[in-house]
Amino acid sequence: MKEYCSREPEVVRALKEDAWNEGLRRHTEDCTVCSTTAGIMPMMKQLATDTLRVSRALPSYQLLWIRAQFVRRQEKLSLLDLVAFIGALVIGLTGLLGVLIWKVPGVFQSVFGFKGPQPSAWTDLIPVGLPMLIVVGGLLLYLALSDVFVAER
Amino acid sequence: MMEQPFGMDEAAFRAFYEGTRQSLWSYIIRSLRDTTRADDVFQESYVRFIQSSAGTLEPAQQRAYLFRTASNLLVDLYRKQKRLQPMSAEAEQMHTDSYDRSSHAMDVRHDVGKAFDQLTSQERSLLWLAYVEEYPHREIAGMLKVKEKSVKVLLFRAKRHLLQIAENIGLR
Repeated sequence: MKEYCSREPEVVRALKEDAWNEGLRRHTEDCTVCSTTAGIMPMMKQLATDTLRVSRALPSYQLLWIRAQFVRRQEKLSLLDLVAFIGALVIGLTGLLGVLIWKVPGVFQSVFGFKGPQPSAWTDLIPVGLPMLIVVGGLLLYLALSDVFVAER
Repeated sequence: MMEQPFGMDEAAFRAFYEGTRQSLWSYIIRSLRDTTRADDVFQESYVRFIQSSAGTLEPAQQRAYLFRTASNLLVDLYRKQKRLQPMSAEAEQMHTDSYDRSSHAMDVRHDVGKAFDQLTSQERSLLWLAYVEEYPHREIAGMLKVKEKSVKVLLFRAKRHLLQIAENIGLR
């Protein structure tokens, strides 16, 4: 059975604008697809008019504009949280590894043949508290850079 | 933090919103038959539109993009509803009551609305997009996530279904 007719858009236009010509009218009478369309169009027109007639209190454009901005900020924040978490995790793991190498070099000696730092070299060059300062500074720098990264997405 | 601009500015969005809101609302409420969910889909469609780069498109394409977004949300909602357990009787009654009140106010000839409501959600969306919004089949296929060939068949069936319902309730 024929389910599509290339003249259907013409018929829809004619029905909407009530602008018929004899040829199109005859075609609509003979064509199953177009006659079905002609059958439902008055109902569709009625529905469209009735739905538009009722002025429902739709939200103002400002509300939607603000909501879109809010959603975008939320998305940025959640991405920032994730980046900050990964950054802190990387720094934390590196720090932990450093402490292990420093304090328990024996573990690395047996596994990798690594001898670990010489106590004299480390203690002479790094004052107390400097490693912590470097870690905190690195974290802050990382967060600042990740913020720029997120803003430029 | 630098704020990245949207695809269009606030003034342009205002003009676009004024020109499309009533048509979009009509489409959503007729397809969904649930005022609460229709409100959600309506707002979400515009929020997604603002966040996209569709603001740089031609006006007709912007409108099509908006309807496509709304249709995608509707299709997702239909699928979700199918997967979920049927609503509780109380919730169902609440939705129906709320829709009936607005539906009754909408339909001067209430029977036409009643006939249309008896179609499936997909049939309602198809008929609205094809004969009220007059989108071409290819566009409708993209909006409702079906093949272009299927649109022709589904539309024909939807029309016959509507005529049959209209006949059954004495509209024809």
